[in-house]
Amino acid sequence: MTLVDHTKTTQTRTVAIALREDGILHIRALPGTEQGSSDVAENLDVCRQVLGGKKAPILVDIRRSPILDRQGRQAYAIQTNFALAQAILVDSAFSRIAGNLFVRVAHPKHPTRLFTSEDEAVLWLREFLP
Amino acid sequence: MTLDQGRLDRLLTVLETLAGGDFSARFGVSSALDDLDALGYGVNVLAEEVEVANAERQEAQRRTQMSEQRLAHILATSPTTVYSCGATAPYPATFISSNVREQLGFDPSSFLDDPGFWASRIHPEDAPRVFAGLGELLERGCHAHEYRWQVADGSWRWMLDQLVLTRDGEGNPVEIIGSWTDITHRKSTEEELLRAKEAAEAASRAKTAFLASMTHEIRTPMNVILGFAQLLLRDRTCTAEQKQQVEAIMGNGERLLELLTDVLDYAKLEAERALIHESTFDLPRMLADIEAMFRPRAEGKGLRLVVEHAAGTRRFVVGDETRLRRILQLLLSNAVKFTQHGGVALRAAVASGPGEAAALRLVVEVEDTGPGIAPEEIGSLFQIFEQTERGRRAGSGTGLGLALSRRFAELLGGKLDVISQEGKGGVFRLEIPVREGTADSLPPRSRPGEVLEEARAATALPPPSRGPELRAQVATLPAELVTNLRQATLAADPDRILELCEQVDAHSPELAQELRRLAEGFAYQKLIALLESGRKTS
Repeated sequence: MTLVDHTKTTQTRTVAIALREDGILHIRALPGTEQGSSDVAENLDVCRQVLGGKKAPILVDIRRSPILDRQGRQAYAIQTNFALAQAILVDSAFSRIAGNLFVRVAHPKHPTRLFTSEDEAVLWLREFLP
Repeated sequence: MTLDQGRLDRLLTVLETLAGGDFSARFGVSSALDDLDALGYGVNVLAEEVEVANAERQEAQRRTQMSEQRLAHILATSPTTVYSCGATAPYPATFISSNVREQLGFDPSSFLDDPGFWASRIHPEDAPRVFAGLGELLERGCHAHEYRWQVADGSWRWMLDQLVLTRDGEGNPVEIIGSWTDITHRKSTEEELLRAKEAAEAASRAKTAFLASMTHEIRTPMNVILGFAQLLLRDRTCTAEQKQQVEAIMGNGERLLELLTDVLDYAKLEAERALIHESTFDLPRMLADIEAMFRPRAEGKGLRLVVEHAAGTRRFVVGDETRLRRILQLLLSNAVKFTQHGGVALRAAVASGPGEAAALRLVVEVEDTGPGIAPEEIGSLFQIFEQTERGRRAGSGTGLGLALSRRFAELLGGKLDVISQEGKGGVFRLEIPVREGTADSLPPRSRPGEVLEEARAATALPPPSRGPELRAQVATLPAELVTNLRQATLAADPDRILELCEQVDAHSPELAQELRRLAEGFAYQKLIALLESGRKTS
């Protein structure tokens, strides 16, 4: 069962963003898209609007499109001040490398972990729910 | 999995380029996002980070270099030598700015190579203080001291040494960082200023002493002149013309004496030798004395003179009668001098003062119908040697009277103010603290039993009927006492006269009272005349 209400999903050029019923913000990278600086800025704005000024744990699914340039990595690491924690969903070697590089190189300010299981990721994120 | 040899070669080429130091090489990631893409993407990310880190390091190096250049320029051109040294004796230098060559004549290596170099050149007289100060540095973390240090040419220079102590994370002293500034010029300027100040103060003291001495020296013969002039006036063989001439001598002599008294008072105030002598005195009697003193002068100018004291006011008060008398004389003298029409009024009242029950305030107002004081002159009215335009035009006075009055009032813990409008006269208001006195605490000469005599004592001269009697009483005094009285009178020393009057009391209380009255009224010439006449009688 998914907690994502797809009727309330906001989609940008590169991601689909929805606030789950349990309070976790769900961000899913759309297939085959590479995020540039302007994409990242737009995505962050949408996240803030969806959260309405509140903070939330974030589930980021990069299994389908993990490519992010340096500016994007920096922006996601520094400007996600609305994130209480971040779980990154990976599956392939590519997405694992991309996720690990994000964690090790960009040094996000909030707790960040990689998961291959969405359920485990959600379980971990719920620990951060206010 | 099929390995795409072409893409693998491209990845190897990128890696070789990166290994060669060119971190701009990138692998083109395909849309397949397979393992090779993952590897290539990882290489790309790491190359990006290295490239950025390199750029940042180069920028940091550039900034450090610029900062070092700026610092080197500042240190080289600074009037201050900057150094660092160990935190324990002998405080070996670990750094010293190159400008030390220009400032002290030594190469930095002199300090860096010889750990005891700095300490060895401190002036021996200053060294104990300097090392004690370093102990304080360890306690407080910062310190500044001034000491003499021997520079390369052998001369001693005054140095201002300002130090701070650096500590490690555990609080242990690590290093002293300090700066030296050559303050020799400032020190010599300070010493010159100090010498100049001391010389100026010595000159001022000498001037004041000279002024007091000269004034005293002039007053002594002047009293003799006036004393003998008064005797001449009583000489029945003098013609009218001769008496007129003698009166001119007396008039001018008295003015000169007043002036000298002002100057002497000023000198005493300047030398801070003016003391307060408090005693119980009879306020109405003192006012009557003053009225008697000024009435002839006021009436001679056709002026009304009114002296009043408020009904119910205390009769006996404790204060410095001599100073109070002097202030009132100065104020009345001024008022009579400048008033041409109308009159002069002196009103006195004693009111309760603050604090203890016996504390009182004596308030005296001297009002005149004179020309008044221009608003622009009121501010400087009480300043020494300042005269109003009218005073300058009159060509008399020194500008001391009002200044002295205020200084005396302040000496007594009171104040003196003026309210005046040009053309409408003025009111000088004196307010001084006094205490309540009693008849019992009056000095023997002023007991109420002698009040009847006091009314007559209000006149400047003893009653004619008493003259021969008093002269006869002078003749009964021991010769040494008369000589001492004459000397004290010639020296214009009222305190000494009053002291000697205690001895006169034993022979003739009446004579002692008369002598006191004359002394307190500064009537030295009359005192001399009385003492001389008594000697002739004997």
